[in-house]
Amino acid sequence: MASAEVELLRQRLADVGYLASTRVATVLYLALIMGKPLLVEGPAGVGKTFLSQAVAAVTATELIRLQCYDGLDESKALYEWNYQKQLLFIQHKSGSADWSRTRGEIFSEDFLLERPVLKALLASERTTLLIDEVDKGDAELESLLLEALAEFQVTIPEMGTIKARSRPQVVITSNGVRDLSDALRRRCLHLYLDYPEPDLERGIILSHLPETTEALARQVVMFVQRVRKQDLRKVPGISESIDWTRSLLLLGIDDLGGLSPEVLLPTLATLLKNRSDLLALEASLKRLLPAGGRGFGGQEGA
Amino acid sequence: MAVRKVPDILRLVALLRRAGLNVGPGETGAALRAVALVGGNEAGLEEALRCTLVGGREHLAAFEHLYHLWLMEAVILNGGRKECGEAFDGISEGFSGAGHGPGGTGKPATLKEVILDGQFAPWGLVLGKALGALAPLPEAMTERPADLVQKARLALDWNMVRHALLKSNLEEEEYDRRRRNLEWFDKELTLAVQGLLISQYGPALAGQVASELDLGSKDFLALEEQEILEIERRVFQLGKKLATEGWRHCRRGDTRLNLVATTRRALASGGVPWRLVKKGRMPSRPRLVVLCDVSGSVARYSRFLLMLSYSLRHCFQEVRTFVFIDELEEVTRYFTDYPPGEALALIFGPSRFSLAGLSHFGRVFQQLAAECLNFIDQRTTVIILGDARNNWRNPHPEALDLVSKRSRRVLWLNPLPVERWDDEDSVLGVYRPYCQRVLECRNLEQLEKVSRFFI
Repeated sequence: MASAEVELLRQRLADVGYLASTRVATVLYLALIMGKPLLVEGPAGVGKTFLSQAVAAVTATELIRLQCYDGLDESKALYEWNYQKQLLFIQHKSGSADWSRTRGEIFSEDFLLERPVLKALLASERTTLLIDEVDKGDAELESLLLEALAEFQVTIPEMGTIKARSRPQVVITSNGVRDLSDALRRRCLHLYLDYPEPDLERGIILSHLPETTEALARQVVMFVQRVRKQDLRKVPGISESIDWTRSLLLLGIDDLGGLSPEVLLPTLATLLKNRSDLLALEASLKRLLPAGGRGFGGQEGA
Repeated sequence: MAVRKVPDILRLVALLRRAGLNVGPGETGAALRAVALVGGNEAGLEEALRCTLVGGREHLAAFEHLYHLWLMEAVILNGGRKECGEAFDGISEGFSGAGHGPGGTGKPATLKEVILDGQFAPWGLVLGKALGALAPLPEAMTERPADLVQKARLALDWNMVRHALLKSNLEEEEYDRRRRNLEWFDKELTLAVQGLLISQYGPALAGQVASELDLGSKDFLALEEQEILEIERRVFQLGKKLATEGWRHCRRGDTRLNLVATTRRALASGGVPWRLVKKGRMPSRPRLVVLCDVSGSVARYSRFLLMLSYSLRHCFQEVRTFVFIDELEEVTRYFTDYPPGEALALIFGPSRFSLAGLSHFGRVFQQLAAECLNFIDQRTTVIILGDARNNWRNPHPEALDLVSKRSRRVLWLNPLPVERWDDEDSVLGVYRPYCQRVLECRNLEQLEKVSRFFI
């Protein structure tokens, strides 16, 4: 039954360190079976990129990554001709071969520089292609990717259409900085990853940092969940929760109960990456710590 | 709700389209395939439909609501509308006050008791009171579904309970728990009312409900509080999108060949210029002047235009914003000194921009022509948002003529429907000759269309 397979996938993701809800596992299961790209949206730091790494680990495939940025074009994303090699070849062949044959030879795979998307399509074995932060690229980049995502092929004017030797599993991530086109969206399955529920976040911290006590994990999650409700420029994600917990452990703090705000404040640099957020939190730290700054002593978990 | 047989998925697709989602045949096919893969698992069914039919976060709330409505509609229509209508009557009669209260107290359960006093009560009893307030339903549907939901809320003193919860001094976790309960119950109440209407009036009601969820075409004045927040978010995103497109347009500016850079690059390929380098000179950025009428109901529309102007600011060399009723006041500094949310609160908070409280466009344009012509030039786009209701005062069109001649263009955005533009004391006809475009702007879809003329 499908539910059993979804649960099995969820367990396998947990084995490689990714704690997924049934919802996430279901969508991932459908993406893998249907062979459709998966578009993962959500705020920064909720585990979108890590999900793709987990997918590669679970499916035992190579992870090929395309990091998007403004100005990324097809020469960096899809392919580029190796002009120097072509020039050398032409010079080598000069006077000894007719032009038609030479032209056919220089526009062949030997002279093609494969960039991540083409590399994933031409791999002999199935790969996982991560197109990370696609919203940082521009609309032209999305247009370049459409053919690859829909038909798993790339059209190169000098060579024709190159079909995939093996269909990669595609994971596309977006922080929602820019609205993506409908053309891209409708070619993908959509998954929105939000900040996790307290229980899940506690489990994530414990799985990454097994030396953490249950009490500390509970206290960290409770505090971070409260911090997320403040008006911040950069809301802390799961990675920040893990980093903050790690910093507490390194400082020998295994219980936030009784800890004063003054001692806690320097550690918050791992949680909040923006100076104005740190200043704002400093002002409201006593309010966020229950019992008037006496820390989390005696507090039950969320 | 147990699902023994998956209802018609095409019906769900139709509802989603009414709610403004672009669901094409490809997505529908993917949905059918996904549903077949997950089998009869209800949790899997919802996820299979969500990931294939919903392409963006902004539509998740609408999908969730319509998904449950779709399931409920199938149960109602399969079970027989008459039987379901009787079931709903039973719920409301169960609350009639005949000693069916919580804990055997004999008192009916109220929302206040459950949320504010923390008393335990079966939610069905609270729901029954709300449904009872709607009985008896008329033969023909005369009100909008949203209005009937609001009526049901009023029967529970909803606003009072929500306000009191906001003002309570509960511990944060307890406050969150009760707030979540209230939100959950709101969804259940809304679905119950809509289910009651479907059992009474048939499946066409579901289509009406879906249309009400289409925020893009919803008049700004009809937005509820949560919807305003969502629209603000979308307006901000729209501004960023337009700013990016505008910036790219500027960046591609000059396509002339940069000979020096091209030659330098050609050295890497033996002197052969494989790639040409363009000059890409950026043309100077335009300017924007925004005038917003903040009288009465027009203020709501102005709010969104001000927000859009703020998010577009990087596209312009300068953006200056003004608000008015019968006197012009510049509010540019609020957006430079404060975050946008705070700026809007400060602008729309105190009562200013008015001597007599009635719009006077003529006086405002005179003030604009007298005090602001020095920063209006051929690169400036002037945007005026208002209903042109001048309260029978002198419109002073010559002042707007002066502004129009000096600027690049004047765009008038009117929040009234086109058929009402020349009603009563409207002087839009007097101002129209001095505007390059006069456009209706009452909802997000229209705002998106008109904003393309800003840059």
